Amino acid sequence: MTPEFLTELREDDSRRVAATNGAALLGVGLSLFHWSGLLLAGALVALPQRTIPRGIGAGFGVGVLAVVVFLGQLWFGGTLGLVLGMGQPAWLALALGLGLPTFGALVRGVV
Amino acid sequence: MNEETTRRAVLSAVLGAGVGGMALTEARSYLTRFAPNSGTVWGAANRNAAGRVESPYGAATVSYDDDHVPHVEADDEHAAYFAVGYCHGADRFFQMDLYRRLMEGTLSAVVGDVAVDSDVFHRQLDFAGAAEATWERAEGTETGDVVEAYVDGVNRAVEQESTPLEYRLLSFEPREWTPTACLLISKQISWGLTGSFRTLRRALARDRLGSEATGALYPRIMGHDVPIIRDGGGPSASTTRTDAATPEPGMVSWLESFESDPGIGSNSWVVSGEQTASGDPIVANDPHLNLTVPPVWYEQHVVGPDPLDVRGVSFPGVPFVIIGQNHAGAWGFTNAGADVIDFYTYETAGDGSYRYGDETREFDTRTETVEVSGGEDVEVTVKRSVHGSVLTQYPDGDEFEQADELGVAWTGLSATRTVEAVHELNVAGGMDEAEAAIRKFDEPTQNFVYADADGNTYYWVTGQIPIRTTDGEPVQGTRVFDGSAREGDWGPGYTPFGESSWEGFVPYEEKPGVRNPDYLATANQRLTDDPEQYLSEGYAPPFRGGRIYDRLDERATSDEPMDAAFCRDVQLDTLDPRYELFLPIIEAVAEIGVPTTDDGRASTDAFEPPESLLDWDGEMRPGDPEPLLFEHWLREFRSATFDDAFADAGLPEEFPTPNDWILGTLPADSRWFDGDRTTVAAEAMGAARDRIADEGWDDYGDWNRVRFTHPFDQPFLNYDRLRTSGSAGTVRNFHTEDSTGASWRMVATFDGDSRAILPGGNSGDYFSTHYDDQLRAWAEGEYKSMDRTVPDGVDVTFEEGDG
Repeated sequence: MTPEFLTELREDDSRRVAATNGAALLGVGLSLFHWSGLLLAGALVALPQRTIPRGIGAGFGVGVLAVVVFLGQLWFGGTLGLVLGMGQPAWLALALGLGLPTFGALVRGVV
Repeated sequence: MNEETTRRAVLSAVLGAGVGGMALTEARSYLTRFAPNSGTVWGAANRNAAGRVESPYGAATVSYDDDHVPHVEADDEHAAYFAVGYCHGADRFFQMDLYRRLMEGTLSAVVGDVAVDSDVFHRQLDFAGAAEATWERAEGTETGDVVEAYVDGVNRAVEQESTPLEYRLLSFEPREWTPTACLLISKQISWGLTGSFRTLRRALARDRLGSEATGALYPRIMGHDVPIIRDGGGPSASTTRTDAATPEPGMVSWLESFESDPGIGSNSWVVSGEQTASGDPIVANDPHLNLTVPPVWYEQHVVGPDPLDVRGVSFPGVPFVIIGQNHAGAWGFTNAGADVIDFYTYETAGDGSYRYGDETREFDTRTETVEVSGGEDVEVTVKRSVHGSVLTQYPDGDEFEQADELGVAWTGLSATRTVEAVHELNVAGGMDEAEAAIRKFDEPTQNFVYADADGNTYYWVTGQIPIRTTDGEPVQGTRVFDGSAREGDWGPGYTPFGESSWEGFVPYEEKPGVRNPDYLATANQRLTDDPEQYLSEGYAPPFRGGRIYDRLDERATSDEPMDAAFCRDVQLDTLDPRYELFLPIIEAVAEIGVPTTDDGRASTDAFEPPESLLDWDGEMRPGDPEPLLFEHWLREFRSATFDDAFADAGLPEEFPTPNDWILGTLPADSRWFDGDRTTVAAEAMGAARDRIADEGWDDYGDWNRVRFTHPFDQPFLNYDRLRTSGSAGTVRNFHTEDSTGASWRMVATFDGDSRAILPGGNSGDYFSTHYDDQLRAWAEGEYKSMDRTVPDGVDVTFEEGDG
């Protein structure tokens, strides 16, 4: 079920780290345009990981990165406090930011 | 199947279901709006006003000051108003669009079935038709051309600026702004100030309580001695009324939600140079309107070709300054309370025709569809009679017999020239030009106060006031008329949904007014004792008007001249004259004592009713317990006096009780107290004390708080709840529960120190630092400068081009 190249990737530390970083950048980049980018980001960073828990952890990690990028943009724009002050919509955004990549990372358990 | 295969199958199913659920259900809408980074809502958090804008009208600049007031400069008037439109569009477009939807009856299309009743009402009255007729009159005129430049500026902002947060939250798109939309906003203002169903309420009260009781509880003229023009003649008498039909109670209740809240009113006064140290006059104005988020007013300063240099407040959607100051003068408005609306029943034949005198006429009828978001569309019949619109709640087939359908004549249904009047007022070079402009101010009827740099002062009532006639004789508009018998017909100048003239309206010189008064105060009280014509069916109680005159009289007879600081102090006056009126009743309660409740609950330590009220100074301050007790006692006393009797008479539950002046001046043995006023008042005191204890309030500020809510009523969009001063009876006017009060406080002088304040902020953008930056200062009674100096630096540059 697991393609050969993924198996090889998971066994090579340097390639795995490089693939993880690249996937994280690509996924977070895509999340700037569409919410499905967050799902994809989680899936892409999870696939090179050696185990399923590590894959899900990587998915959560890229979620944290996406949220940091989100909050950073607001901070630079001077609206971070106001966005957090919105309450429910802000918490929803943070939950989606962490949850969607983690959910996408479940693909590591399939492939 | 082994464990790994099972795991893969389960996870595949979970992933498939999850992704499918996100993409194919309502969840997708939430993800599209709120996902971090890509969520459409967050785009509103990154709004940046464009630095450069192409304008087909030529060069202009906008410099925002520290309070986000745009200072617009241009050599051409059209270029200036294109820039003003851009500012309105950038800062307040959602608010403008929402008011337009309210007035044209298209709210349900975005907020769902909660707005269907509102849409039906606004379609039936056909404000959109009135606005279209008004634009047809203005189009192609000098003013019309400026309005078009403004509209183009609004639309350029909608195209170029980021979409406001509210559209992103509700997932709908802004629509193009139009000149008719500008005039719909004007109609909304006029309706809010003159659209009253008082005639119908009184007709219902006469039917249920009798004419005598209704005349006593809801008198057309209150017997006080502080009209605006104090000539000492005493109020003129009312006339006998007979209604053509009694309005159906359900219809009266239904209509109440479409007229102004009870707290709508205003204060203004003008003081001549004879009374000031500088020798220059002063104009003070604080209009009491709904306290909304964002505020109803938008402050702006426009500098154009000489002599255009005007600063003040406009309504977003209206290009010009409504209240403010220009190079030559300063002015303000308060509601005059004139009666400019009438109601008619008809004899109908059941085939869409009705009798009008000797003629048989057809109703002009059409069917419109109210689109409802998330619900089924609703069909509404829009009907016009010779008098204007036809209103109905839910037609029951018997047409007008039960008065659940009524013809409505209202001056605002005509094509009026108010926008032209305000345009000319903005550049008026003194009293004579201001008067010439205000003569065209066809609606709404307002008390206009003005002063100029030459020392002139001026007061006049604006707007068309109809002269109604039956059989050729003038009649008062205090009853429901038989339209078929041609009772209460308006003069030939009134053309609903067409161009009216002043023929048949009270001539300008016959309306109340004074040229060069020494000082004069308006607070919605009776205009004058003995008008030449019938003017109104009802005025505000005299509490504010009397108190302002007391302060002005005291100062005028003292050695101290009046100055701007004194006028600001009067605007912030918190002495409630209702206290003095009700003190004898409170003293009587003190003599017999306050009853304890059934459970024997004692009063809180903070309140020793009613003795603590006996030594109180009547000031409605947030830190004191006495105003809290007084206010709640008054509410309980009013309720105990009237509620049961009104319910027994079959009046609707929410039928408004008589005002506090009437309650306070009823004889002690009035039947409304069941012959024992003191007992009713004592029980009310106990009830007030218990309510305060139950709520855990310690002082007035615990209850008297700013509660300004955004139309979406989301906590983050609403303003902070701040403790504040004032009451319904004080000059510093604030109605906690209705959220009405001073929507703009202005004291204008001619020494460069004019000051003002908004309740909130000039920007309607939640993410702007100017969303509510004036709120605390407003609640604490502070002011900011409104001088006409353009600040350094340019925020938006408009360059010649087509965009």
